[in-house]
Amino acid sequence: MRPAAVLFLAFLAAPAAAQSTIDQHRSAAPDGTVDIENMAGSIRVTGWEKNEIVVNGKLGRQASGLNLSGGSSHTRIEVETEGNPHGVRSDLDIKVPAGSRLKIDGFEASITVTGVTGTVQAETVNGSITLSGGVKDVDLQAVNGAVEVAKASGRIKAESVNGAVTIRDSSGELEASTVNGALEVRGGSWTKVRVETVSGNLRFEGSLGKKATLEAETVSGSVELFFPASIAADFSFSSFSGSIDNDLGPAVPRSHKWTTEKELSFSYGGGGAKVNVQTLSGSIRLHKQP
Amino acid sequence: MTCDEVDGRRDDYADGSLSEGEFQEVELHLSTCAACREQERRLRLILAEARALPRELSPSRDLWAGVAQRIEAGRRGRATWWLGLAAAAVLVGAVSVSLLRRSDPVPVSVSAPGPVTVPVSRVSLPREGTTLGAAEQEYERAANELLAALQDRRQSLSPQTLANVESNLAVIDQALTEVRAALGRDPGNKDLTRMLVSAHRKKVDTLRRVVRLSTSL
Repeated sequence: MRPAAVLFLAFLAAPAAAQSTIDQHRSAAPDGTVDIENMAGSIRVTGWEKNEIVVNGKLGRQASGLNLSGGSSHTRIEVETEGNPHGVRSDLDIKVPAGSRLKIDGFEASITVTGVTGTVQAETVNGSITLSGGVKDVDLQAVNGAVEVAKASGRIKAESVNGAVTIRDSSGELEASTVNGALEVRGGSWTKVRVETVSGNLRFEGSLGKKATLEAETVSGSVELFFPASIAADFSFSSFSGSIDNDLGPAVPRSHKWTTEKELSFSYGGGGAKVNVQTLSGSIRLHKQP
Repeated sequence: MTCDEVDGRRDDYADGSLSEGEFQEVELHLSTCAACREQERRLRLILAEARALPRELSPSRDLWAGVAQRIEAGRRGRATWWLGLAAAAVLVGAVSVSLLRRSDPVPVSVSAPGPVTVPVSRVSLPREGTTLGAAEQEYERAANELLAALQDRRQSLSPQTLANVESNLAVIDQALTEVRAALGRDPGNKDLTRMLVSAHRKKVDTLRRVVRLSTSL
């Protein structure tokens, strides 16, 4: 083989050779704190029944190692890098005791959490965050990526700046927001909901308890609410220049005397839950679920 | 007329659109109820502030001087803008809590922060009585602090991230402009006032998050 070809093949093989595979184990308390930091790549965390933490995956080029340290009640998992960690893309597949309390930091990393029943706090800049399974308390924040929560319960906080936020089949208290991504709540039963966007569209399709509150606010996005005909709630809608359409109660909103503002307030099913929606220029539509 | 009944008519009373009979009843109640008189006084204050809002709010020269000073200080020492960031967080918390309490009939009493370049432990406690216009300036000041911090961290962020952040800030700025314009047409509108504050808060929250995450590198 010619020397140039050998050099070329060596060059091609170098990145793969530089990636190291990891397989580390450590005992952990069933409800201990686990801090995870991987600036670029992916972080996948799965809750299991063992009192043990297992980290598998591949460390990126220029990663100097994996720091797995701490005691059983507080474990730290960190990809260590030399220089700017942006270019060091590592993929971690981590198993933790299901009741763990997770704190996950990424930057250019996607984050996936499944089956963790403790608390979950996760944030990233460029990348999505996906969580499924029951948790007590969840706080997910992305800048440029989608945030998706499924089948969770408890207090849920989900925010993205530029990505969509989707909450499916969950329950409890929800606080969710985006700037210009779509925000959707599909299914689930809620006691307290606060959702807001700047220009992203809002959609809520779920059930509310008798004393539940739902507050939705957007500047220029549209708001669509879907409720079963059995809903018992007091509705209050206000849009400065958008339209209001209502499939459940009165059809004609009251127009403000001096401005284009429209307001609509009414009780349905004897009242109960409080539903307040405000927009500046976005439309509001209340649908009856089939 | 009860306090609740007056509460429901306060806006119309302030803009002079009550019937003569209702107007007299509200007047009678106000003459005997100090709490409602105080609410009515605050409403008029906020209406005056809303009317005085500029269409395009830009920080005053004094504020810019302060921002420039802080940017310069930030260049001299890495820790300084962190303190500003933390103090800005204190500011946002203080202003948000007071302005966004939905049970308040009109968000008139907001808290203002102390100087933002002193250590967090020495940030002055919020003072009461800040009005909407002043609150907007405080939010602008917090946003400028964070923008300066972000400027310091530009090299840590990918061009794509920066572009996304900037386009989203533009979305929020556009929203602020639209809400201010609407408030200009309907001064004192509670929902619009709340929305204006909410958009300011969103801008500061967005900046705070990006700066905080970028400093974790």
